[in-house]
Amino acid sequence: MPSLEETLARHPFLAGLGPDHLQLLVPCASLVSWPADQTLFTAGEEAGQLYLLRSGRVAIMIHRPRRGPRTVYTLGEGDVVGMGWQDLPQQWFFDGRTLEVTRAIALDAACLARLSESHPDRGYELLQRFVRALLGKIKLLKLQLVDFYGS
Amino acid sequence: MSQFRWPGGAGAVMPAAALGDLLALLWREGFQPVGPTVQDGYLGLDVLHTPADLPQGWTTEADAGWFRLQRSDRAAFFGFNLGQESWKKFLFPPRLPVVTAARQDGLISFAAPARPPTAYALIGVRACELAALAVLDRTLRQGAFRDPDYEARRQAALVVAVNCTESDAACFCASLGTGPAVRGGYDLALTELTGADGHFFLIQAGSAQGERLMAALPVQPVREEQWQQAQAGIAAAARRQTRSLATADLPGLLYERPEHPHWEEVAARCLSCGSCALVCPTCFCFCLEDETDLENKTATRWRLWDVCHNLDHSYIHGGWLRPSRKARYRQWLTHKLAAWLDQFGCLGCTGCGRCLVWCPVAIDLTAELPALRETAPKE
Amino acid sequence: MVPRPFRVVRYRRELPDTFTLTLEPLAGPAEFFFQPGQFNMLYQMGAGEVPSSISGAPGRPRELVHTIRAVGNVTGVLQRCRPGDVIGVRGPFGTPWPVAALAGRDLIILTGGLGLAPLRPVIYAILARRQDYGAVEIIYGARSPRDLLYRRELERWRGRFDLRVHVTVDSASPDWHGNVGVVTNLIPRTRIDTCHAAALICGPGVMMRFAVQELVKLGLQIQDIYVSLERNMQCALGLCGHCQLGPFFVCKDGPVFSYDRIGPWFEKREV
Repeated sequence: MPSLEETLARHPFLAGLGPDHLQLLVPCASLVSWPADQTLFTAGEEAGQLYLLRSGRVAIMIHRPRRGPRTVYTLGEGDVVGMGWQDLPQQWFFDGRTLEVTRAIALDAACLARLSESHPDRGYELLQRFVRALLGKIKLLKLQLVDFYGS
Repeated sequence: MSQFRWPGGAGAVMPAAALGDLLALLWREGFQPVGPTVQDGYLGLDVLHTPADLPQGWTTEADAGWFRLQRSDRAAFFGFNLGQESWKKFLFPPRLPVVTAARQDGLISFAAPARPPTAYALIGVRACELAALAVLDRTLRQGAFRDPDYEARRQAALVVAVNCTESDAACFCASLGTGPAVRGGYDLALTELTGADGHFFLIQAGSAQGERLMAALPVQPVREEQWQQAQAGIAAAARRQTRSLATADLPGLLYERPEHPHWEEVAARCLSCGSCALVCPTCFCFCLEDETDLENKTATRWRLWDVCHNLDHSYIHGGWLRPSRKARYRQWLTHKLAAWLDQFGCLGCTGCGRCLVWCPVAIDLTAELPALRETAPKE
Repeated sequence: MVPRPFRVVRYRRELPDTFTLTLEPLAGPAEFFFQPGQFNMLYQMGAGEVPSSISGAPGRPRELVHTIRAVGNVTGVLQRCRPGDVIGVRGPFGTPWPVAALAGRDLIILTGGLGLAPLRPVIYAILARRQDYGAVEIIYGARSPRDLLYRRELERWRGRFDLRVHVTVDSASPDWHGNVGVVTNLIPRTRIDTCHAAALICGPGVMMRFAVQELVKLGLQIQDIYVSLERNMQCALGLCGHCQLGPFFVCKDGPVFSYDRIGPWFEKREV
């Protein structure tokens, strides 16, 4: 069985980080696994964790009064689910629910924030990766705004 | 007295009055002579019964956004340059039925309308227009798909060309090498000579049919001074041209500058009226339109001239690919002077100048192209 | 220019605005041969003519199949066609997808909305000679689960061991267990060998532009990416001038182009 550090190293979000950097992350990380159709978080709850998905898929849903939930985005292997580690405590903005058996690395947001304080260079590297993932997601969401298939 | 041989055939001379013989001969041979004629103050192209139908004693003045048909003190039949219409009106008619459909007993049958083509004799085709016919030939006769109607009309047609001994201010054939002297592509070529010693046509055959016709006309050998006079007239016509179009950097220039600020500048003036494309002797865009009877039992599909300045030219469901005027003018000019080279191996322009003459706001491609050639002004 | 009369033998409602006509010729040869990616001009008497790509199987030339979205005059009237009605057909026109030339390659077939229709003949052709190709992945996006074209066929293809099918929609209710997000999102999820892969793309312009960017990021060469374009087409013979895109007449030089040829034009605005 691979060590937690090895599992961290294999995730695209952390790929290429040095062993010392990964070592620093180990205390913040844990492996999690959920069955299908499990609610991971609900809008308004405290978002204390970031999830680096290793397999499976998670639906990001918005709940609309009277009309029920609507899936606006699905995330899968290699994706990051979470609100970051700035301005804690953060709250989840949408609902998250697994669509199939899903495995992830959970990173504790408060732990990441402490890491960034004590090792600003390491924190900056993580933040860069987070921003990059976020921008990629925003780009795709913008495409989703135009009626992509309508014309 | 020496006799001259022009490249491609023996030159001869006939008295101006023999033009009537030529028209009569063409009528007898089954051709319908068509050519320039003035009706109600308009210089157009129409049927010529006798030389009296030609605009004898008329001349033109043409410049960007400017055209005047005026009386002249010369007796010349062809003492003008170009009117608004080009010969494509006969060979590529503005309105042509291409398919008929009939519904009967729940079935529908389709047919191509049968139409034996009129054998036109095109009288007075200028060098730039001969070049334009050659361009249309490449477009409609020599591609992967051919237009059978154009092919039939073109094959049946006889061409009587006329060398230009005058140029209008709008002319720029000399810079494109398409004129003012005709170079092949005709059955007969005329050069009109007026002067103290009489009114003649220098006449030359460019085909076997031309030679045959010439043999039936009262022709005499050319005298040296007549030949000199003709050459001098043509050379003077070339010399007098003030407009020109440099094309060595095409198509690249236009392909590389779709966002040049000058396009916006032209678009601010352009009315998208499409006149330039309608008067252009090589523009070939058409649309198809259905016409049905009230019961929808028979339908005719018409081919109608279309122009890329129309918004609907680029329509696909849900919108237009060239909504801006800038994009439409750019399409027109880029097609004429760039894409045409890739598509047909020649420019879509022969220097006739009609587009700038008949532009209501005097947009002049011989000025627009150099402006596009200049690098973007530095802000 | 003269159409051939074809009889509608089957009408199938695909989506509220999309339908499939199966046609057979009333006169002339009983078989209609075409290559995947080619299109016909469909003529509805009194209404006019529209280009429509052929969406049937090239190996079944006795039935001519067109999937059409009712978006305009003519397509609106075609939607009211029922078995027994007669329409006119001219074609086939245009360049095909280079199906045979791609033998030995891994393939990504990427499409959105109605774009699946012109690619379905490719999928049929590949499945008919599946052993000739490497990994084949179909990526398909639609507005919502209700807007998925050929849904049952997609499910069948997904059930095969020799195809990977990814479907995504823009938004969905919780009973949708598939992906939600734009179609380009799924490109990194493919498991093809990008050194030996080719991509065939058909869909709206924006989709194709972003899909090409993602595929290039993945390592595909632009000459291995093929797109099918849509333009105003009236004659389909390269004569009427409407379908021009730079030096190309899309009706005869296309509609299928390799991206190294068409890319520079595709990316310019309003050309």
